[in-house]
Amino acid sequence: MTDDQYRRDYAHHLIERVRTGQMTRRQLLVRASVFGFSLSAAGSMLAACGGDSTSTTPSASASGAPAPVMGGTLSVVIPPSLTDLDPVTIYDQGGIVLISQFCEYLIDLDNTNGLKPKLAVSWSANTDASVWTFKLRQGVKFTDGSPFEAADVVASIDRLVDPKSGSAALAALAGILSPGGTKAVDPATVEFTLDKPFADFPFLVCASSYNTVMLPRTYKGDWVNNPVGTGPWMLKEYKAKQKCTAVKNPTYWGKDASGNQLPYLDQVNWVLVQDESAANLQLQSGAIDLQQQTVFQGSQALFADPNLRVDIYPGSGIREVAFNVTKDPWKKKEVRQAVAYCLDRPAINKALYDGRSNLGFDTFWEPTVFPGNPTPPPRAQDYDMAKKLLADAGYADGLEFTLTFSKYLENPQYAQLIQAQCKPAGITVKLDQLSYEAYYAGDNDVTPWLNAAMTITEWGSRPTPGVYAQAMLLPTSTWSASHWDNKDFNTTFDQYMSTPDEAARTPLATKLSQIQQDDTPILLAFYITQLRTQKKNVFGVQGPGNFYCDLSMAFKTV
Amino acid sequence: MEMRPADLREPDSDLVAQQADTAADRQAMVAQADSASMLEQQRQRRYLAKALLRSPTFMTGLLIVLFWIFMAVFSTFITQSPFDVDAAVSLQAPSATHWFGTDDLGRDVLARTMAGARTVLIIAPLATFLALLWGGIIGLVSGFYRGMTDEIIMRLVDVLLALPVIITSILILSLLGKSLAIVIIVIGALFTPVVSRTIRAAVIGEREREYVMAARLRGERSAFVMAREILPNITQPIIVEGTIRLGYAVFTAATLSFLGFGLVPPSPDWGLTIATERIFLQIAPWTVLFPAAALATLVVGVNLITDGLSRVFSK
Repeated sequence: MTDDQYRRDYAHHLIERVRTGQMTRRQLLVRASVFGFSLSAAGSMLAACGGDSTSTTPSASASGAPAPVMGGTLSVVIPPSLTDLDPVTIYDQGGIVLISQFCEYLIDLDNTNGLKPKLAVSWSANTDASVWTFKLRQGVKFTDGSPFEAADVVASIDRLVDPKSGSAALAALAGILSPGGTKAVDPATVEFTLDKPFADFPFLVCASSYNTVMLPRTYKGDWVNNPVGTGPWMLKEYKAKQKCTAVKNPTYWGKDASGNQLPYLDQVNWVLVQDESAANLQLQSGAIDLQQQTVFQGSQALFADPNLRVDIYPGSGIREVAFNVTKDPWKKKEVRQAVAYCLDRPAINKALYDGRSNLGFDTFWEPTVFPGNPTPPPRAQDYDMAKKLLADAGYADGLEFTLTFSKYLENPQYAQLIQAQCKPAGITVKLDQLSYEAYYAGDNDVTPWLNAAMTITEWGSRPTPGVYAQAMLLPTSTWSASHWDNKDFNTTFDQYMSTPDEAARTPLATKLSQIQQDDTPILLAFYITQLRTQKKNVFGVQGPGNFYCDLSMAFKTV
Repeated sequence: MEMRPADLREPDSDLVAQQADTAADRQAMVAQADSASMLEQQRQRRYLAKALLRSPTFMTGLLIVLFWIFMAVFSTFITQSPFDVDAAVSLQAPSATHWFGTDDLGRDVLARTMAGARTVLIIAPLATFLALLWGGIIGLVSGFYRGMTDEIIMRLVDVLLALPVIITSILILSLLGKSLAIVIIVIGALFTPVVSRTIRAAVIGEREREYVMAARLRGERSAFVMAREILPNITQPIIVEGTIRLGYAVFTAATLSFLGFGLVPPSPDWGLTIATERIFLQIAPWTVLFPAAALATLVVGVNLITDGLSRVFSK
C-alpha cells in the first residue's frame, strides 16, 4: 500500500468512527493533524461526518476580533529566564516564551493543542509509525540570511538528541529518536527513523516540545550574542532578568489569510518580572498589554478589571505528586493508593483554581482533557479505604513522610491541602519547602525533584497522554521522579505507540489507564486550565495559553 | 632539731583580743553597710516599680506584650484551629463565624493571627537573650581591660557592625538551613556587636568608680569584679538595650519569614503569612492586614516598654 492509499483509507476510517459514535469530532481533528492532514482536509472529513460542526472549539481570542491593525508596540510581562537564553537548554517559562518568538518549530500548536503546519507543511508516517517523513516549507530564511533546509533540521534534532546536550528535549525524545535517526532526503524533505514506533511523534517536534526549534546547521551556541532564527521577530536588546526588546523580521515568510505580511506589530517589549503580584499590578495600571500566562492564585482581581480580558484555554498542565517507588514507604502500592484516597479533589480544585480546572484521577488517559480517551473510575475521598489500605501495608498505626516541593506557583498551597487531607487517615505529612533554585539544583542523580521520597513538580501543558507518559512514567524517562518501572505498562505503552489505528488504540489506552491508576506512581488530582490576560484592545495572540505563544498575528486597536 | 625563737614566742593576749575586736567591728561595719546597701537597693526597686506602674507608656506596652504572650500560650483553647483547612469557605470576608475572615485555604484568620504570636515570641526573646549574653561578655571584657584587648575586640565589632543584618542572615541561613534554632542563633549573633558596644560603654563608665577600685585593691579576680561588682551596676542600660533589641528581633524574625528564610507552611507565623497571602491583597485584604497589624502592635508594644523604661531610669 502506498502512503497516499494508506492516508485515504485512514481518513475514511476516521470518518466512519465519528459517524458510528466511536470517536468525537475533536478527536478526529487531533488524529487527522497527527497524520499530517491539512486543516482543509480535516474540515472536509468533518463535513463528510455530517451533523453539527460547531463542536470544535474556536479560538478564544479570535472570536469577535476586529480587522488587524498594522504597526505599534506590544508590552508583555513574563517571568525572567532562570537560565542563559539558549534554545538548546532552556526549560523554564521565561526562556521558552522568548526563544519561541525568534525561532520556530516544525509544527505549531493551535489554541486547543491541535497541530498545525509551521516550518513543516505536511508530515506522514509508515504503517507502524516508526518512520516519519516531513515536507519542509520552501523559501524560508534564517535571520542571518541562510536558507532553511533539511540539513538544518538534521543538525537541530541531532544536537538535541545528543545525550551530552543537556537539553530538556531529551525528556521527550530519549528512547524514541537517536543521533543519526534524522536524515535529509532532499533539501525539502526530512525522514525520521525512530528507535521504536511512536504514533504521537509529531507532538515531540511541535511547539509543546520547547527545545525543538530550528537553528542553522552552523549554530555554535551563545545565542544571545548571535541571535538567529526563522521567526517573525529579531532580537534588538536583551538584559537578563530585566527586559527584552524585539523588532519585526522584515524578511519573515509568514502571511495571514488575506496575504498581509506578518507580523502586524512593529515591536514587542517584554518586561521580565518574577513577582506575580507586581506583574498583575502592572497589567492593571495599564503599563502592560499582555500577560502571556496568568496564574490563577492571586490573579482573581484581573477577572473583575473592566479594562482587561482573561482568556481561558483547555490546558493540560499538571502538578505531579510523585511517589519515589524506590524508597519506603512508597515501595508498597497500597500506601500510594491510601494517599490517593485521602484527597478531596473537588475541594483542591476549588481552593487552588476556584473550580476552573478539570479533575484528574491519577491517570493521563483522561477524556475531559484529551478527548476520546477512556473514562477512568473516579477516585473520591474515602478515609475508610485509605485506613484499610494502610493496615494492609502494615501501617495500621499511621504513617509519617516528608513532601518536598518548591516555593513556586501554588505548590505550597497544594502541599498544605495534601497535609490537611491526609491527617484524618492517620497520615502525618511533613512539608519540606525549598526555593525554586534549590528544588531543581544539581544533576538528575542528585536533584531533589527527581530524588526526594515524595515531590510536587509543576508541568506545563502536554498535548497527549503519550507525551506525558514518555517523559515521566517509563524506565527510560529522563524526568521520572517516581522511578516507576511496571513491565506490563511498558509493554502496553510500546504497543499503544506503535498502533496508529484509533479502534485498536482504545483498548490499549484503557489498559494503560487502569495500570497507571491502580499502581498510582503519581497523583494527578487536576489538569490546569490555562489563563492569558490582555487589555481589551489586544487581539490575535495565538497558542494554547501555556508557555508557548505566537505573537505574529497579535495587534492592538486604538 | 633546733627551734627558732619566733616559733617559741607566746602570743600577746591583749593584742589578740584587740585584733579580734577590730575584726568583729569590721565585720559588723561591713554587715551594716551591706544591709544599708540592700535597703537602698530595695528602696530603689520599689521606686522603680512604682514609677513604671505610673508610666502610661510602659503600662500600655506591657499590656500589649502580655496580651500577645497570653495569646501565644492559650489561643488554641480560645479560637478555632489555625490549621483547619476548608476549601469551601476560602477567602471569605470577616463575618460572625470568622471574625477576621478566612484565607486562601479556608483557614480562620483570627486563629492564625493569634497563633502566629507563638513563633515570634519564641524566636525574638531567645535571640535577644543570646545577644545579651554574648554581647555582655564581649562588652565586659573589652570595657574592663581596655588597652590592646579593647582595640582588637572593638575593631572586630566594627567589622561585624558593617554587615547588613538581613542580607547576612539570609546568607547564613542559606548555608546552614532554616531550622528554628538556627534562626534564633543567627539573629542573636548578628545583634551581639551592637549589644557589646552598649555594654562596653556602660562598663567604661563604671570601671573607674570607687567600688571597683576597692574590689581590685581587695585582690578580687577580674572575672569576679566584672560579674559581681560591675554587672549589677549596669543592669539598667542592659535592660533598655535588651528591650530595644527585642523589638528589632521581632521585626527581623518576621522579615526573614517573609523572605522565605524562616518557618515553612502551614505555620501561622506572621511574616510567613504576610508573604504567602499578599497576593490576595486586592481581593482579600484581611488575610494580610490582620497579621501585619498584629506584628505592628507587638513591635510597638515592645518599643513602648523600652521608652517607659528609659524615661524611668533616666529619672
